[in-house]
Order: sequence, then structure tokens, then C-alpha cells
Amino acid sequence: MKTKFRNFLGCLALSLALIGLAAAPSAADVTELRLMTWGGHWQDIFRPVVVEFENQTGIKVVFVVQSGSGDGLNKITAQRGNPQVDVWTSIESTVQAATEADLLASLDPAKIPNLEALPAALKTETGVAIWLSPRGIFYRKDLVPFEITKWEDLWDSRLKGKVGTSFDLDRGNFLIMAALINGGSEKDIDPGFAKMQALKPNLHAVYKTDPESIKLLETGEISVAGWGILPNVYAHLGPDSKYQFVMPAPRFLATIPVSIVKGRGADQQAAAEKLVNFMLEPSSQTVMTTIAGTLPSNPKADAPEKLKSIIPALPVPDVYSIDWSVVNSNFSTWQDRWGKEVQVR
Amino acid sequence: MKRGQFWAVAPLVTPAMAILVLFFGTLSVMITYSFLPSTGMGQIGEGFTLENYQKFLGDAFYLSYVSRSLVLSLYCTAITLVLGYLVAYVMYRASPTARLIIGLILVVQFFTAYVIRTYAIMLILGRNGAVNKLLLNLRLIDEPLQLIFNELGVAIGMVLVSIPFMAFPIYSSLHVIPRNLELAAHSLGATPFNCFRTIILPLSLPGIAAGIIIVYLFQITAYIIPGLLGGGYFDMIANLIYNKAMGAMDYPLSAAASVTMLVISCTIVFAAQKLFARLSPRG
Amino acid sequence: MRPTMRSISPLTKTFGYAVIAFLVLPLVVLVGVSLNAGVEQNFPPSGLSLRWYANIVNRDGFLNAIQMTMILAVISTASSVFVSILAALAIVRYRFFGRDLLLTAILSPLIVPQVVVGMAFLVTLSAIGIFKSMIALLLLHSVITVPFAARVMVGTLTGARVSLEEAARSLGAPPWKAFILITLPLIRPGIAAAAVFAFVTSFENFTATQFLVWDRTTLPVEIYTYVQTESDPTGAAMSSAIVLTVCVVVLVLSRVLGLDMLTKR
Repeated sequence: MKTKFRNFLGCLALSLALIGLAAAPSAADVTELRLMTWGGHWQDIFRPVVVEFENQTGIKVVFVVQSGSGDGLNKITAQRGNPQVDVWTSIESTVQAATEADLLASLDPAKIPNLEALPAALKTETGVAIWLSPRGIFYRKDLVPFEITKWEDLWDSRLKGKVGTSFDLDRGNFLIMAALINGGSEKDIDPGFAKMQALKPNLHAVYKTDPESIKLLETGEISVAGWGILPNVYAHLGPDSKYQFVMPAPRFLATIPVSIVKGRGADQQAAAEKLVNFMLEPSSQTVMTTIAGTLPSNPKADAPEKLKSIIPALPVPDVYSIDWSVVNSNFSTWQDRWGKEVQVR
Repeated sequence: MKRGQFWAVAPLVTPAMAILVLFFGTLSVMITYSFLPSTGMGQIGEGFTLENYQKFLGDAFYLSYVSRSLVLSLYCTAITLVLGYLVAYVMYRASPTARLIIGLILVVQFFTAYVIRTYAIMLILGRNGAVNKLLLNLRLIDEPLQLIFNELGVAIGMVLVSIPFMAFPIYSSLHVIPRNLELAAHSLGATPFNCFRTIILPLSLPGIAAGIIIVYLFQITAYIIPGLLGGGYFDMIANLIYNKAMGAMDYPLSAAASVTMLVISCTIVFAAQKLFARLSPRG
Repeated sequence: MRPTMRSISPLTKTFGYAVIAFLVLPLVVLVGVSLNAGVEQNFPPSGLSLRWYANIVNRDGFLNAIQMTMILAVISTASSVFVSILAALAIVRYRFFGRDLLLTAILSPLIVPQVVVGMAFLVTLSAIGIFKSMIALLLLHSVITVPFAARVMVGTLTGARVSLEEAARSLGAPPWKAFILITLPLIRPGIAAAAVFAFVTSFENFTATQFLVWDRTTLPVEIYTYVQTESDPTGAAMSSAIVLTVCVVVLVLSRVLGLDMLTKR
């Protein structure tokens, strides 16, 4: 029994020491920036740029992983008193939410000169787009008896039981598209749900992520992915490919924003501003978008060659801009309605 | 409890208590959230409120997630029990080499990443997967069967993934059955079936109890299996909790749902413990 | 023919092995997918190639993730087995106030959905200023591994006969010595089972862990991230590599420690 008690004391002491170590504040460090982004190949996209950034400024960039934009928002929200991240890439709706929660710093054009070059639509007070990611329909030419040219084609009776789509991907964007082609919009969503009812005979699967949709297409579980993200299917496209990507109007370009997290101190913020500015340089833009398969946000940079054959024209015509604050305030209700009305056979 | 016993028991349970304090500490934050109002995406206001519970418990749609989780897990656990016991028993009666191979197969299940295993099952059960191809070739069906993106797919996945969780505790239990009990029965002429019924089955009850509880709790709180194999067509309560927290960013509602599940689960476990204690051959 | 000790009806045996075959099937599919020559993840594979295994080495996050996962698993297994043996001794051998409540409480991390556990830890640890993944995950994994280990230990100790230990004590051996020399060897398979359960619980934990992955990441999260952001067979290759490693390790251990190491009576 004495041994056990001693063991117990030892364990207690050890755990207290560990907690003490962890809680000790770390010294402020201007030679390192922490960039939170998604894992996997996203880091491959940023890597050449951050390496060059370190060469030029001596500031090392360390990656912090988020398993999703919501996860990233979660982390930043939880760390409010003591933020652990300097720069954050996510999506428009989470930036919107983080802005409302007062978690992000204002982007100062004086400190980030490259902001000038970007059109107003691609920047807000707290986020600036580093590239534009086209959305559209991704399908298998060998399994679909006709050429898909418009959104309405998804409702074609020849596609019975062959269509997949998503609600979570881009936070209800497909639903909004369904509303738009039925006379509604994100502000009037009922036409969207009505259109989804009409889609049910064709609808076979609902996916939550892009790679899921690609796997479903590869095995032939679905013949058409109603909501696809161009950069993610890049590798599958080509002249001999059985896969096709099309961007019918109304078109959707997701702007991937980068933001600076508030509360890291003046020095860190200055360094973060340098990094954001560097990401907007035409040279950085070209490097990132070539790897990613997206469109640069800085008009001074060149779009990748392979993209030019897929996208109708540059700049992209008939792009619809979604009011994300409307989406955010209704999302929970839409989520429930989707579960009740759409995901029942 | 006698005075002397306290000093025997206290040091034994103290480490466990420390773990529980840590765990319940973090949970209490969750519980606090459930009583706070939600004031926007990811934002939480101040002041005690019951609105989250009213929202969750007053909505038949939300409650249907709870009921379908409890019901599916009930019949899936029953099936897992039968199949898991079968595997454990075969392992118990096998030669040492066979036992090692079976044990290896079971252990490996745990080390294959969850998501990947589920994707593999999706490949097998899909429209063009092995099962449908086989049935079509044997002309037993004309059209591929819908084996995923519905309750059936989720159930199949649940059972397959849970079998190792059931087999291990049962095997542990079978293992410590003293050999001479069986020897005695055999020498008195008992048939294998009677031997099983009167000796092995009752003595493996602790393992069965452990297996049932572990598997049932695992299944009602499952998230990836219903998410992938259900494809949104059979979301369970953990999916709802996740969707409300990460999708809609309504943490208080998500917390209220979690607390409700916690209460239900605790009740089930407490009742099950009492039931199994009564059925067990030893007090 | 007299029934032998190892007798089991052929019917039972067939069904049993059929179930085991179903457990092997997803693994076969996994390995098959990982051998695809092209980018598509098909089964049966269209063309055979080891390129995706080679691709694993290109990702440096992978090795860091393995290291992190192993450290977490080993430490949390040791701590939860220790905690569980002690607690199970108390629960099985003594009747005391709140015994059933304690048992339920010990199981409680299993009752709460992983999502909730993860979020609860994220919020609490951030509030008290813990921002290192190593610390956060050690705390998390110590907690989530206890229920499995405890349940197994309670089950094992319930079956293990106290009388032998009591006999030793009545002959004059001090209680702890009687425990270590008599009961401990007897419950060794139970301890091994508890350790295995705890280890794999920590090793493959994903849902709760993903909330605490900041500066370091674990293998399941790394694989999941890859599978969710990439569309090529590398994720399958990573998992198959793990399966292969586990098989090799177990087979080697069985050679070294004897075939019966987990299953010896």
C-alpha cells in the first residue's frame, strides 16, 4: 500500500508539472509566423511561397492544420484570449462569422499595398481573396448520354438515379443555385427547396466533401457530381479523359480569403501584413494558382494555361455573388429542412 | 462500509477519481454552454436560459435522431453479440496458430484508420461493388441493390466495425474459465452443447456484459459510420451534434443535445450494470 | 467418438470463419485500392503499381504524425491500465457506498459522443491556457482510454479467483506481495487485453483528437485530412502500410515471446 501511495504521489506531481509547463507563457517571437490552413496538398500550394518569403524577410512560416474551415473558426474562437495563429485561410462564411465575433484584424491598405490592385468585390475589411476557385458540374462522359451545358440538365429524366450533390459543400451553395434558377435566391429560399423536390427522382447520393464526390464518380455510383470544385478534380481532366467539367451560368467563384487574427501584438501583426502582401504579389499568385488550379485574385497575374480551356472567358461572365450574412443567419434552419425534405427517399 | 475498508479502497480509486475530475471538469463547460443563449454564428451570450432545451426537446425532428440512434444500436448490438461471440468461441477452440491469426485479424481492424475502413466497406456495398456484382452474376437480382446511403448500409457497417470490440472482452472472459471445470463435465459424459450451456455461457457473462456495453455505447455515439455509409440519409445523434456545432455553429443547441444524450446514456448504463450484476454468477 | 476438449461443431466453425472472412474483406479491398496504377481508387485495381506507397515518403507530416501517435498511445495505455487495475480491484473486491456510481462514471467518457468530448477539451484547455497539442492530447487520451481498460479489468477480476490470493495471505504473505505474485500472473491476459484496447483506442482516435490538433498532428487525422483533400490512393497506401507493419510486429513478437503470449492460460 505504501508503494501504491508513493506511485500516486509521483503521478500527481508529474501531471502538475506538465500542466505548469504548458501554461507558462512563451516568449514573443517576431521571427516566426503561424499560418493556419487546411492539411494535405494545401500546404504544397503555399510552400514555395513561404519558402521564398523566408528567403526575403528571414521570417519562418509554420503551418497549423485545420481539418475544415469550421474547425479553424472553432479554434480561433476558443483561443480568443490568447490567439495562437497569425494568418488564417478559410472561406467567406467563416470569415464573416469571425468578423462578427470581432476576432480578425482590419486589413490596412497602407501596410498591404497590393490590395490596391484587387477589385473591390474581392476584398472586405477583414479578408482578401488569394485566389478564385471555380465551381461547376463534374461528370463522366461515358455514363451520361448527352452533353451537359446548363444547371437544368441535372433535372433531365435521362439522369434518373445518377446524380449526386451536396448541401454542406460551400455552405448551401447548390441549394442557392437551385433557388436562383427557380426564381428565388438566398434571401428567398423556398423555390430552392421546391426545385430540390423535383430533383429527388434523379438524386442518388449527397456528399459532404469533394473527394467523396470524386470517389463516387470513379466507382460509377453516380454519373454526375452536381457540385464540383475545379481545383480538386484537375488531375482527372484532360483530352483523353472520360471526365468533364462545365461551368454553366449563373456561375460561382469561391473566393478563398486570407485574414489576420487579432490580438497577437503589433510586431506579429506587422509581419503578418508582410506575408499577406507577399501572397498578393503577381509572382506568388502565379505560383500558387498553377499548383492549385485556380484563378489568381490579382488581375496583374496570369491565369494557368490549363484553366483557360475550361473556363468560358476571362474575366468570368455572369458570376453570382452570394450574401453570406443571409446564409449564416439561416443556415441552421436550412440544415433542418434539407434533412427533413431532401434526404428522405 | 466499515472504517477499515476505507483505507483499503481510497488509494485504489484515487487515480481513477483524478481522471474523472479532469473529464467532468471539461464536461461542465459543455453543460454551462447548454444554458447560455446563442446570439449568432459561433457566438454565445450571457444569462441563464432554457431555450436550447426547449428547442431540442420540443422538436420531434431532433428527437427522431435520438430514437433512431437508440433503436438501430439496439438491434445492431444484438447482431454483433451473436457474431462476436461466434468469433470469440472459434478463437477459444482453435489451435494456437489459428488463434494467433484470428487475433491478428482482429487487432489489425483497430489499426486501420476508421475512415478508410468505412470507405472500403462502401466500395464493397456500392452499386458496382463486389456484393452487387456477385448477386447480378448469379442472376439473383436484376438491378443493383441499394446497400448504402440508407439504414441498411449503416447497420452493416456498424456491425462489421463493432465485432472486434465484442469479440475481445468475450474472449478474455472465456479464457479465464478454469480448465478442470470442463474436464470434469466431459468425464461425467456431458455433451459439448450442454457443456456450453451450463458452464461456458454463464462464466463468459462478464465478458458478454462488457462487450454489450462497450458496443452499444460505441454505436449510439457513432459519427463517421452513419456519416459516410448513411450519406446523410441516416444521420444519427452525433451527426446532429456535429452539424449544429460545426455547420450551423450553434454551440448552445449542440451542447443541449449532448447533455440530453449524456443523461439517457448514463441511465441505460446504470440500469445495465445493475441487471448484469444480478445475472452474474459471482456477487 | 468421445467429444474432445477442442471439439466445436463444424457448423459453428464454418459460420465463425465466415464472419472472420467478412472482417478480412475490407482489408483486402484496401490493399487492392492502394495498388492502383492510376489516380483512380478502383477495386479491383486497374493496373498495379507501388507508386502510392512511394508517395507516402514525400509527405513529411506523415512521419511526425506516426511519432506523435505512438508517444500518445504508449503513455496513455500505461496510465489507464495502472488506473484501471487499481479501480477494478476496489470495485470487484469491496462493497462500498457509490460503487455502482463509480463504475458508471468510469465508463462515462464512452457515453459522451466523441464530438462533445473533443469540443469540451478544446474550450476548457484554451481557457486555462494550454496550447500545446502534446499536453492537450495526452490529457485527452488518458481520459478516453480508461473506460475500455477499466471494463476489461473489472470483467477479468470478476472471473479471477480471490481464494488463491486469500490463501496466500492466510499463510502470512503481505497483501501487495500476494497480489503481485499470485493474482497478477493470473490476470495477465486481462491486463494484455486492457492494454491492447487502450492502445488501439488512443492510436485510432480521430473525432475528439481533431479538435486538439494544433502544432502537432496524429496519424488518423493526417490520413483523414489526406483522404478528404486528395483524390488518389495514397490514403489507402498509408493505411495498408500500417496494416502490414502491425502484422509483421505481431508475428515477430509471437516468435520471440511464444505463440501463446496473449492467449496463455
